Amino acid sequence: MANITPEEVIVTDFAVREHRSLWIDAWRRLISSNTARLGMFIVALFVLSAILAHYFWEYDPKVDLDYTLKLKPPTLVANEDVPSVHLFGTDKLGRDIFRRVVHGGWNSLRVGIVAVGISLTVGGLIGLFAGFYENINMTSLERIFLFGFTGLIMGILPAWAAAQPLQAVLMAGLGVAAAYFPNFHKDSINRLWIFAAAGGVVTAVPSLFAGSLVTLVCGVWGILTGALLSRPLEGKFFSNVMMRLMDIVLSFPGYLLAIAIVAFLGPGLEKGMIAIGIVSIPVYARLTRSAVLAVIQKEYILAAQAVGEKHGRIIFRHLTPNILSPIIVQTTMGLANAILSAAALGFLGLGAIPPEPEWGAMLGDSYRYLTSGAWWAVLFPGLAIMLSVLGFNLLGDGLRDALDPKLRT
Amino acid sequence: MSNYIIRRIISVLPTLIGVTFVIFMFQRLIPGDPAVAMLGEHATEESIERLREQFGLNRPLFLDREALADGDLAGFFDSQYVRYMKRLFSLDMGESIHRRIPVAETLAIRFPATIELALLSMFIAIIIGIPVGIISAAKRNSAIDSISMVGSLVGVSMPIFWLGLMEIMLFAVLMQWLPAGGRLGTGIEIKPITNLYLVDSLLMGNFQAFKDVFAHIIMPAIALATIPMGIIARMTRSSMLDVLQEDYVRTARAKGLGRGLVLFRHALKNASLPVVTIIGLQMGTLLAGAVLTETIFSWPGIGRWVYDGILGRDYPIVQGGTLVIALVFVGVNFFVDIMYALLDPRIRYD
Amino acid sequence: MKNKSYLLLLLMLVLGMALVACGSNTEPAAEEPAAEEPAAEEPAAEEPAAEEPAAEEAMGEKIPLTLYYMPVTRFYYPSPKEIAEAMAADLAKAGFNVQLELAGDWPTYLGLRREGKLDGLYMLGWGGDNGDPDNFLNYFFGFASDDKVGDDPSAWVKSPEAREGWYANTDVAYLLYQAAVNPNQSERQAMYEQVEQMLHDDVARIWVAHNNTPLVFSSAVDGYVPQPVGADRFEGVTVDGSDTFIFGRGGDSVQLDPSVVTDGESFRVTGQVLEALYQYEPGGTKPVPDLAEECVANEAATEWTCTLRQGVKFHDGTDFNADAVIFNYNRWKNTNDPYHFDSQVFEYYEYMWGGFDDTSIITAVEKIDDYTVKFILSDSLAPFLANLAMDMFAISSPTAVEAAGEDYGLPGHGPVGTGPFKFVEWVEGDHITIEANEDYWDGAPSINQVIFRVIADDSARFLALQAGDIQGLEQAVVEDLTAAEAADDLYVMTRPALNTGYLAFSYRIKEFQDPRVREAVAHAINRQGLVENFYGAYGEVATNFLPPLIWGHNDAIEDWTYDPDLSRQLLAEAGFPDGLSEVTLDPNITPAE
Repeated sequence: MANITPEEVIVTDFAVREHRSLWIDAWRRLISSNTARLGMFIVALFVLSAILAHYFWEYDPKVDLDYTLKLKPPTLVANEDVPSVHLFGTDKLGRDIFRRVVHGGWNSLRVGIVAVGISLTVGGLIGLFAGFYENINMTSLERIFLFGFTGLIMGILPAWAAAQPLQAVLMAGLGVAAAYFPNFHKDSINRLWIFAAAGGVVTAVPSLFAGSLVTLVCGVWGILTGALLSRPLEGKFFSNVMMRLMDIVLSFPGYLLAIAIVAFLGPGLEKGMIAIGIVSIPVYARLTRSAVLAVIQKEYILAAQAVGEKHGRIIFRHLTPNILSPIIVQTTMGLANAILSAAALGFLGLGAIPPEPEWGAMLGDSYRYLTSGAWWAVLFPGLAIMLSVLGFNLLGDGLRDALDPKLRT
Repeated sequence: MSNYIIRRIISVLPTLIGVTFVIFMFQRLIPGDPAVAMLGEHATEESIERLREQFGLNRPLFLDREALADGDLAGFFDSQYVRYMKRLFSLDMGESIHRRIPVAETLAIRFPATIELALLSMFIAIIIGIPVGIISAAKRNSAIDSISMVGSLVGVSMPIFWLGLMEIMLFAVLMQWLPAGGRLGTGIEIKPITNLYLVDSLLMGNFQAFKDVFAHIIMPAIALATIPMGIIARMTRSSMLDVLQEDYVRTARAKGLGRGLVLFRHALKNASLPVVTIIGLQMGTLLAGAVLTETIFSWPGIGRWVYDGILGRDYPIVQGGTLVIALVFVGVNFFVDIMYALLDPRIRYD
Repeated sequence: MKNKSYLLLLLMLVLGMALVACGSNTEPAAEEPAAEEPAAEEPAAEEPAAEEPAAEEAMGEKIPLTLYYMPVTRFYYPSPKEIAEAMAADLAKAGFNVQLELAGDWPTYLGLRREGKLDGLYMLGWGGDNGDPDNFLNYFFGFASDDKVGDDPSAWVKSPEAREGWYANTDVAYLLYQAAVNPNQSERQAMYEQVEQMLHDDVARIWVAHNNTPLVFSSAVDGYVPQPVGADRFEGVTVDGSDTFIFGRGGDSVQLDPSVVTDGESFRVTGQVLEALYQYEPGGTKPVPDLAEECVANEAATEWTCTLRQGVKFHDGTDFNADAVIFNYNRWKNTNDPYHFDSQVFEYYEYMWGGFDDTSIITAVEKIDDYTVKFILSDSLAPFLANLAMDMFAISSPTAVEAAGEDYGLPGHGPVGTGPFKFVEWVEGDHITIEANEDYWDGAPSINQVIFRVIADDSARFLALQAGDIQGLEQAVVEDLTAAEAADDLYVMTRPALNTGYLAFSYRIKEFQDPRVREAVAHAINRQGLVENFYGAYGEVATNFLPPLIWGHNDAIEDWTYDPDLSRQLLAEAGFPDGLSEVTLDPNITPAE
């Protein structure tokens, strides 16, 4: 380990060197842009202040209360009325807003990272697989997996109706069988009949004890499922189902869906993160899928396929690195969006559990005092939201230009 | 072409069914039910039970296993979901649980309020966003370009609820120029024709009313317009830049045509497709942002109504409201796709 | 196969990591700041809990000490979240390391309270319905129907119930039962005072504040009479230079049929249009005759004979008489009445009169002659007249109810009664208009028209008043009220408090079963500071559950002082010298699923 120098690595692995210089190029382009530098500066300020405050500036919101200092305007110098300096003023409980805004950054940062983490992981994987299998034929093992899983899902209903798990297992087995014998009566209507009949039998027979009507309903369901499994389902099927699911999520206004999810999960910053993460899954799924579709016919993928590389290896070794740029850009912008959505949830009272400082909640608590002139309690948390969001957006914009020189005009 | 449209319609159907399913699931999964929500602190066990019975909340969610085992096929399907779907197919939105007012009736008043706000915001976003984008593109890499692009990013990054509060602070509290909320001042009567008050007051020829309506709508509209404004400006700029590089534009310039003429006659026309698309898609975003804007400005629109519906577990309101918003979303997406296919010869319909 | 499972594993791993990252991030964030004393002890206390779940099971599950705050603003808690933060800070100074928790939105919160699942301290309040102490105390501390086993009330046992935080006090319940059936006013008063003392001695709950509801008016307005019980009176209002009075309020009415709703915003309007047999005296809580000239009880107080006012007409021109009274009471009472619709909840009838049909305390309303009715009760009921005067039991025109059916009181079918104002129109979510009834039996009101406008947001409503869009409003932010008092063209009036905001204990928490711990909590919270900061001049610290306005309020009770040191001392005596940050659930009390 110790005797390997970086130079050696570069010399020995031509591909990696090529790879790295591309990133260095992008970095150079990035720092040459004024707006990107501004974005980087804001983001760095935001991230650093949040982290430093969290670890080194002790703050216990639980005991922070001083009625004598309530709703004091910003002061730069201590005076008789306000014996301590409050750069941003104080709120209704006499808490220093500057302190809470800085500490609130930590919560916003966490929301951003976790929410984007969730949507990137789930959405990215969905998009990756959907895009990949839409164009590449499945191996028989994968097909067995797909069919078995479909059978299992479809078998849940009769299993539930008859109050025992047998049918689900049998339907999964039927699915596996259908995938294992793809050529059995292929191109013949008989295949349909045989599988439909088999589906009907395996669902109806185990439910005989539960009553004739149960058997009937289960049997009908089984016949339909069997017919479905007899079809040559392909990756396209999986991709379609996934993309329709994404369409459904996208059909709801983001905030309303997030509110509904929080109402379901219960309030709290962590629940908010999950809600925001779920809501933006489709964005990443669609983006990744279209990025995959753009490169899937490229020579290096075809070549990898031709030499018989495993699908997992193609996806993660060849496909993923080549679609990274749009995803990096989207992730940066996504952080901005997540912070904004979290603030909105907090404003509606669905954010961090008090007394934890959180920008949106600070706004939501203090705007009642706006009419009586306490502008500072609303102005500064809002500015913090706007600036941090702007920072990530600027950075994302710069990254887009840097990573995709074609777009830079 | 018509083949493409039909296939597109068919592909929307599962989405719609899924949407109705998700709407149903969410309201049943959220803990707490309308019976408790209605009765408040004073609720007695008996009345809660009676209300549950009346709303059918004691029925199973999807299918009734016990009924099936007893040989009752109708009972098997007599679930909350099936009832919900039946009503949906008979286009019956039901009535509000708390107020017993038909949801369709309230929708007829509240939906136009939201649409009016969204349309005006979009109008503001377009008349500012597009010129800014064009100027930026024309003066690429100049100071104006940088400033307007950072400015439009500020717009995109704006927490609209905060901007709304700042507007109220400035124009309603300090200056006292504009009303802080609501849609219409007391004592001003507007005959509902389209339920878009700006239009209605003009149709009536009542300029006084128009002024009042405008004073009420302008602050929320500006707050709501910031994000689409930024997005439209950026999209206009980038698609203009794309087009300006095309050969035919260079040719036109080389032929000695005026700079302005090339910009507007040749470039803008061809750059408008992505801009139109983004405008369509932003309509949906505007509806999404309505929850917050309507909260701050006490705007009697659909977003706040659905939000209150969620909090009060008023299922029919949540169903009706969300469904309408989702339909608009799906509809806009659909429309944009079709437009794209119609306008852009590069898209294949197969 | 290998590929797929490897991918799935990866997905699960990443998801898990994200969740862990999210979870582990919160823990230090929540614990680290509590650097004072509990911090050193906390990790030590937590580890064994994780290691020996089986041993813990028998002792009861350990949970963090939690304070649940309400998701909505109610008149008794004008700013619940900030009040909760202040309480938590006070408690922290006395050694209670409290975790704040929003259990969900309002329906969820109420639902959990009802099921007894708010395990910890929780904020809630009560607003009186009829000015009788029974209405406050009995709901929480009286016998439930299940407790009443056998004919001898002195042998009944109060069982702990979920909605009261699992609190049971048989002595209190028995005293309340005696007070409810005793027709002697002064004896009743003594009993309620005793109940208050017992609850105080037991630290059953911590009464936090009563809030006198502020009403702000333009100085052009005069003659408004706020009512502690029942709807405020608008008939004497005058507005300089206008014959219309526009009143701003936070929410819309639910339905303008008082018998089927429970919200104050509905009663505010129906109270102007409809009248009951009795009403509350202007500005007070004493029931005085309204549509009845008088009601007289027999000796056992089980029969009340009411003489009705003659010559009164409903707004639709029909006569008010004994038949109208009987029609209304039968409609509310009998579930098989054609106008007792399944879709309607006659919540208040059931709640005030003990049930419907055979379980109702009113067994029958009989017609003696056209202007005399007799109420026959199954048992004597001390607050009978106070109940009779409630807005919910106002008499509607039978003709109107018959014509509108289920839709009576909806925007298309306004209420028709005998009151000083007639219903004009209701634009849902925006405003309701009523106009003067020139033929009112007690003389036409002094204002021609009243408009109730809905402006949900407190600040926006105040701005509308400043701008002259409305001439009066209810409920404003404390800071705005200070401004209003200073302004020349505005003035503030208060409606005397008939509400109490309190902090309840869940007695499912073993630690709270020790009265010393409860008292420690009581001494830890600076209620005076809370009231000054959040209620302004309009709130008062509560020493009783009953507001001072209601007879039965015990002035002799010595309030808990704000004394964090005493609180720490009590806590140490109870066996928690290092404070309390984790509590134990009593395994013997299990909420129903």
